[in-house]
Amino acid sequence: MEFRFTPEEQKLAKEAHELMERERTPELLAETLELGGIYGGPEGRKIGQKMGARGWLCPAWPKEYGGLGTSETVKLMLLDEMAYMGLPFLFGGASMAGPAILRHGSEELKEEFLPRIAQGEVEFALGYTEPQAGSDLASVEMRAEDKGDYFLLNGQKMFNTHCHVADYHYLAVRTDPNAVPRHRGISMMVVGLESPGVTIRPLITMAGWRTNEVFYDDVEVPKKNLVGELNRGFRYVMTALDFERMVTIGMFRRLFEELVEYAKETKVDGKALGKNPLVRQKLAEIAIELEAARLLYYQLGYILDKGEVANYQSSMEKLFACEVAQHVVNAGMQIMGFYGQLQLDSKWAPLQGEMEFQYRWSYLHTIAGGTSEIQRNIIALRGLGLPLPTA
Amino acid sequence: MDFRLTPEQEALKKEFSEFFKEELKNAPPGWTGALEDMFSEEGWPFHRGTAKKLAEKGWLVRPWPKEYGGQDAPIIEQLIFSEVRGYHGAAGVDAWGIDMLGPTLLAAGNEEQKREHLPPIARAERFWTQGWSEPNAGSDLAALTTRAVRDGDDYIINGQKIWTSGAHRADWMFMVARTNPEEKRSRGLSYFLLDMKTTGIEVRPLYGMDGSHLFNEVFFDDVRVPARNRVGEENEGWAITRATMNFERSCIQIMAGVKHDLEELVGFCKETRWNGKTLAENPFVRHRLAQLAIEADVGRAMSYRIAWLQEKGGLIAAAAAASAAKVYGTEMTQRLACTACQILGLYGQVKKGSKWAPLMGKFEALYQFTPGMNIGGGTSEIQRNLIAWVGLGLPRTI
Amino acid sequence: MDFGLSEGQRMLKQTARAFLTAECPSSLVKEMARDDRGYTTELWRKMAELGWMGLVLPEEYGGTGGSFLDLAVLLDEMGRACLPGPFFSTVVLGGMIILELGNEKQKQELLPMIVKGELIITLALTEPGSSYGTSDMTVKANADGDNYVISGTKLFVPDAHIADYIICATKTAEGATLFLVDSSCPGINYSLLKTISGDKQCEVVFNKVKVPQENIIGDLGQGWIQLQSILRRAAIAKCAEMVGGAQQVLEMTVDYVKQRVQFGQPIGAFQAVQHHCANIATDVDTSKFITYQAAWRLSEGLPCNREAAMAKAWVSDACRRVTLLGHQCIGGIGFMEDHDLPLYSKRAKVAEIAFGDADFHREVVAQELGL
Repeated sequence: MEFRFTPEEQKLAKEAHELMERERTPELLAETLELGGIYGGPEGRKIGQKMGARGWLCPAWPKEYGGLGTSETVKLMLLDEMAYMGLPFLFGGASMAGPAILRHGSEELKEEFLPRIAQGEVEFALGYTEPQAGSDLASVEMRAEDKGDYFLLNGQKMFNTHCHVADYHYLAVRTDPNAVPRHRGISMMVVGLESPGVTIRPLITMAGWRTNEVFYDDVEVPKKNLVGELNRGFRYVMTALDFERMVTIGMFRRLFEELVEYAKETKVDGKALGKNPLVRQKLAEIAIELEAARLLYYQLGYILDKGEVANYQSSMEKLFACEVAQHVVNAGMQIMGFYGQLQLDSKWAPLQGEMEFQYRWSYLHTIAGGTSEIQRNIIALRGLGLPLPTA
Repeated sequence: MDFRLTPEQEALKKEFSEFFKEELKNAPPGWTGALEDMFSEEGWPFHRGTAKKLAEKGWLVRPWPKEYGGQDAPIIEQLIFSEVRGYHGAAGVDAWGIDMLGPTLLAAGNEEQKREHLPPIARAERFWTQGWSEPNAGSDLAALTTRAVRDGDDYIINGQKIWTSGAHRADWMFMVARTNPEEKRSRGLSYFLLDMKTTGIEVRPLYGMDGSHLFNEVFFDDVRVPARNRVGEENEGWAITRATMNFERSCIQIMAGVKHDLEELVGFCKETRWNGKTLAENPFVRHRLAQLAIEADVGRAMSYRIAWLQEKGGLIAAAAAASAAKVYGTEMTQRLACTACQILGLYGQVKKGSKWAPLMGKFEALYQFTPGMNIGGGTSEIQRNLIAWVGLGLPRTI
Repeated sequence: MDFGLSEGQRMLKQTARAFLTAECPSSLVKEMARDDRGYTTELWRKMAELGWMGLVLPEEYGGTGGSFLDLAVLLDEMGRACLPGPFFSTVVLGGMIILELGNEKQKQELLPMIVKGELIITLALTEPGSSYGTSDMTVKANADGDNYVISGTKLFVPDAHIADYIICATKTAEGATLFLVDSSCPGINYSLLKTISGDKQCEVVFNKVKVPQENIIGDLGQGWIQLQSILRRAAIAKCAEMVGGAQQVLEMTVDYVKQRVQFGQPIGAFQAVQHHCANIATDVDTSKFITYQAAWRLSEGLPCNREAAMAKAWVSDACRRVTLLGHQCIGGIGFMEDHDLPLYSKRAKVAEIAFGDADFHREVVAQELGL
């Protein structure tokens, strides 16, 4: 057993931290929050490319694709640090589509995209969800007709968050409308978001940042952009999802630390908040949850580095981490709200209003990337071998 | 909207309270009002004795029609009676006969059955148990297989029931058995009343993890039941069983019991000094006790609302609310037990009988009983299903 | 990072599991709950022969010189089997205290005997009015020539009634001091407490018990600091036991819901039940990792005040949740006295409050946060 990073990992972490420290401008921090943590905005790309140049966006990839050939633990470590430092931490390319292309794409596709993803030059948006296909992804209907040397795409996507800042769409489409079961008729394709026929329309969330509806009207996609095999796409989505579910809550780790500082400094009725026994207990409770979440997170690296599949563990980590994130924010609101006197120009300047913003955002955490209910189902079915209901 | 009791209701409440307080002075040592106390060696005679006194006062079945021993009293008065009884942890009420079978017969029994069975309940002469669950029919009661075969003027019953509370004490049992073997589920069931002294009935005890004897297995070996003891038509027993489940679902006893136990716990915290301070000065203790007090009040309001719904619109109107009260009440009781054990620290693990057991080890016992409460009488999961299906109109999948 | 066990630890785990499955069935656990002594000499002897008592004691005293992490692996398996008896007391509260704080003479005299299974030792710490949070003890040890005279009442002392020695935390003029007390000394009165899980905890009344000053363990007046270390170790060790129990509850629950059929299918197919199981699994995994991290840090000699407190706080609440959800899934049958689940839910309750409950350890974490 070993719960420390290796000296090499620590060295790399230190270097990366120093770069992030140097490069995290107020504009970058503001953009990260405004975009809801996704990569692809102008400020984000600046630092993303600097990190990508060092191989730090996809460190576990082979060198030929822009990685450093490190362990998966390094990737998790760096991602966590980025989230902690207020950098974008939701990478459609580096974290989701990229790993799927690496595992299932043709050599041509890999060469075309992986190095550019690893260098932070291009970003992908996930194209799964549709109005009638959320948790039930197998219900995807967007049609891709085989037209000989291209596919013709028609349909609509929903809640495709990255689209307004990304370059490519990692798209789930139906290539066989008659497949039984339905999921065997789904294929994955890479589509340029500037392609003629693609219309992106904003949807504003209650947190104030933007997600999108995307309409495909007779969009032509070259055959080479098919990822892996025709009609095997559902499996690739599942792979990508397992990776997507390795969520970092570095952002909440930092928020929590700031909350602790706030509690130490803020006096109510002559006493520091941090001396209030109920506040102490609540903060301690969350510190413990964050620690448990950290261990679940790094266990994923351990599993992947052993060459195994984290079939239920990533679901468990996502489930737990997202619920802890909500606890951080709820406690923050409660602790700050107990006294109801936080002014917008409070001396807790870096988070001026952030807790309230995070609170509005927090409702999404247990829904996006697989709802908590779905995650529990996966833990039960894949992790514990429980049966599916019979009709 | 009015949350007050009328002066008459207040007076009644006071009268009930004084009776129970007086009566409890004769309770056997260690009496807490828990079901296993009622069925214990020392508890059973006390329970029946109190029942007799209540019968003499005419308090047992006040809402029943006068011709069967009642007083046509409004439901709210019965609620108040149950609340006071639950609060004091008092004995004397056979819930199975009074709250379940009685209303069932009033609604679905024939005149002969009402005349035969209701007055003895009103007079506290006959105590009942309920024969429903079987080893393979718990949450899925309709899957039960105990058979009742018509034989002339009788039925012959063979099979087994489980979780029969108090069967080792009861005089009679109301139960449901399968009369049509072609139907595997609810359509082939009939409702019967059985004298527990009938040949062929064997009761075997089941012991709970707290060591208590509340539940039993009951085996039926060619038990002969007269057909006149069948309630309702043959194969129509399921609807009547469902109706029985819906009677008296206010769960006011649970809510009142929590209120009472909480008051004891608060008293204890005010008096007990540990590590130099009273428990009541500990901010966590205060916070947790306050939370429970809020929950207890909410629970009481839920129960009163059920009575009000029943007065206005009958039992169906109150069905979903009754499920909500049941799951809320039992889960709250479990939270009370956990919180009490938390507050009591190392002492929370000490059993009744030890000089070191605070509050007579009540919460150590309650901690072990409450898992059963969330299961018996319809599991919390089933209750939530019912709230969803009946209350919210969400689609059923099973 | 490495979340796996070493080869040696895997072997220890396998051996322990096989041994305890055979030698410690639930029927024995139930029997020992009713039994006054709470263990059989037969099983005790076999455990000694396996080298378990000496697992973390140095070779020079006859032990195997294993690490605390090795012991955690063993305790995990013991918790899984609900092993009754004075192993925890003798090794964690007895042997490890003597190893850490005893002088050479004490170590030479007592450790080899512990290894051989010839001694049972326990720690008397908590008292009627105080638990783990205060050095203000009422059990006093007054100097009297070459001896000390101990008077007062200790409560919730595990296995005191069968112990050969009791390490007693007392208040001397200089502060808290630990004494090694021969349990057969005149003036000591033992009564076994009736507790929820039938584990053997005692009231121990010391009435002018004379103890030679050479029986001081560690330094005079330094007991409070010494106790911090003792408690930290005991808390982590208790977590390891709890983790094993929780894992067994998970397996028991999953097995049950896969085979119990209602409404024409296994109840494990219903989402509500699946979600309960997923919640149990999440509590089990997080408990495992947070415990093993603390145990590993202690083993490596790294500071672990924060990690130990985090582990005990988390695992205390998690195990309660696990056992209550287990009951909810296993239904009526799990409520019965003769089912195995109550063994675990009762034991989890006892463990929850031993060596500091969740509130206590959360306060430690709050201090570590600098609040």
